[in-house]
Amino acid sequence: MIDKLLGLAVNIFTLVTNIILVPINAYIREYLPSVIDSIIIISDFFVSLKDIMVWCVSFSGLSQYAIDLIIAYYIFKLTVPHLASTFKLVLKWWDTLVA
Amino acid sequence: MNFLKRVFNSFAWQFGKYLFFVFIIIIILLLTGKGVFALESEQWTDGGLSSNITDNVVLSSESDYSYTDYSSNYIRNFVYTQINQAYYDSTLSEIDFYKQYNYVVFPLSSSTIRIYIQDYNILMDYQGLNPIEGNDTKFFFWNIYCSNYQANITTHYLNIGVFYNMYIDLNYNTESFTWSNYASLSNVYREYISSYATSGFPYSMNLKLYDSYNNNFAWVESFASEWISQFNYNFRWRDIGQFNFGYIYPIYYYGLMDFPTLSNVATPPTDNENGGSDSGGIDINETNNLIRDLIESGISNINSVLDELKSIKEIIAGGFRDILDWLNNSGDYSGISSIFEDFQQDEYGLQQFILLPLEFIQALSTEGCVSMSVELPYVDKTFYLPCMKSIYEQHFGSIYDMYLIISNVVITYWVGIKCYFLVRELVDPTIESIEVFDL
Repeated sequence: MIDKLLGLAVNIFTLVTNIILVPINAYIREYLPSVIDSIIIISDFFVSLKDIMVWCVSFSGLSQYAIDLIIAYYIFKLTVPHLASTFKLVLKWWDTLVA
Repeated sequence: MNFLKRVFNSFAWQFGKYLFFVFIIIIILLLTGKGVFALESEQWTDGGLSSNITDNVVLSSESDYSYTDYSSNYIRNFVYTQINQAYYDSTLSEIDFYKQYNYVVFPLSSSTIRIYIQDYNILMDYQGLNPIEGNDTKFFFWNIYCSNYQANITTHYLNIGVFYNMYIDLNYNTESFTWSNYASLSNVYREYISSYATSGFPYSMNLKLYDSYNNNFAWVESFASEWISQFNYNFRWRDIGQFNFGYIYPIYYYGLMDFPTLSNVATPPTDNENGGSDSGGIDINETNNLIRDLIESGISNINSVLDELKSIKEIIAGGFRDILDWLNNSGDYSGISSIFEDFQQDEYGLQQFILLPLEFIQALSTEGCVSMSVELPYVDKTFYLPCMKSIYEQHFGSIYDMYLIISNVVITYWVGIKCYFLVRELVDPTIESIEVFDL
């Protein structure tokens, strides 16, 4: 269930990003087509950096269990505190309103 | 001094002490194979093929692959021919002939296999439906875990042969042990082509056997039914492409075939038991005399086999193997990678910049060990960095195993401590800060 929720959040984030960037991409494609190549070159550079980072992680020889655990921790750290803070905020508002 | 005092009084130190003792206890249980950490029956086993599998990972050419066929027709024709040759060859006795092989199967009939194991000098009958004979249809199902992914290669070839993995329970006085070995079902290999290879996900491959008496195999792609029981079938494989498969998951058996049962363990056969009527001129009485001699010598050697199996070296090796099996099988854990199952993005535009962290995490959670090749500009050469995990396993062996265990424990401890403090802040109503990102 938590996996599905986090997967949903990832997909929503991707969808929103695409929606925001659609007019920008369309503008570039229509009026600045030569910029596309430079964007792709820069994008490929970052993808290469990503590949190097992934290889460096695999170079460390850590097991998939350890990598999954670290990723799970950061997913937990970056998502659950927001939910808890929101819950605390709701409780604080409720106390203020009731008082 | 105050700093040290604070460190020793901190919760992390106190908690760490308990974790350390728990870790020591778990290590002791693993080494001794006691309790729930024995992991003998629940975990899949490869029937002693793990070393071969590890060796095969790095094989790249067909000539490097050593394969011995012990299938029915092969044994029937080859072994009996060799028996006759040994019988008439005065320079090589029959016992010496058998001792050339670690493992020999005699297909006595459609329901009995006679097995001679040279390493332990034991001979026994294995009675039941011979899995390598019969015309009924047999289904097999297994998963392959891919440990290496190269994005530029879209077609991969994998040849697979199926082996029958047998487990034999031997009882001697009040002690018993289980011995396992494997036999080939066929030397027929299937060439597997994958165009959607992604590491981290197991491949589902299916096999349908029919009329296996003639070694004819039909492979089916679709499989839609539940398997009834996990059974001891394994397969060996080799990689003929640039695609390294790291781990092999258990094969599930599905079909109408009865499970073979062991009987007549180390019991001298009678003259009437021999079913090798189509042996092509073999002397039955001489064969049975030979078998009887082998059984008598085999019984005398069972004690040494038990001592060997009970040695502390085996126990320690088994304990570490269990740990590594568990670590390797943890790749089947799809909790992280499933988050990114539907994650897609366009190749064009600015999404690449924004979604790169997600793509990075997705790659970490799914690709595992990767190799990398970079085209160097101006010099027209390719800079290749191989997947290091297989190299570690090949060259460092037990040191790498120890590194895996220690690193897992350290990371687990670190994550546990961090999660504890995170949760402790969450449950404190006076703390409202949000720790967003402090990488």
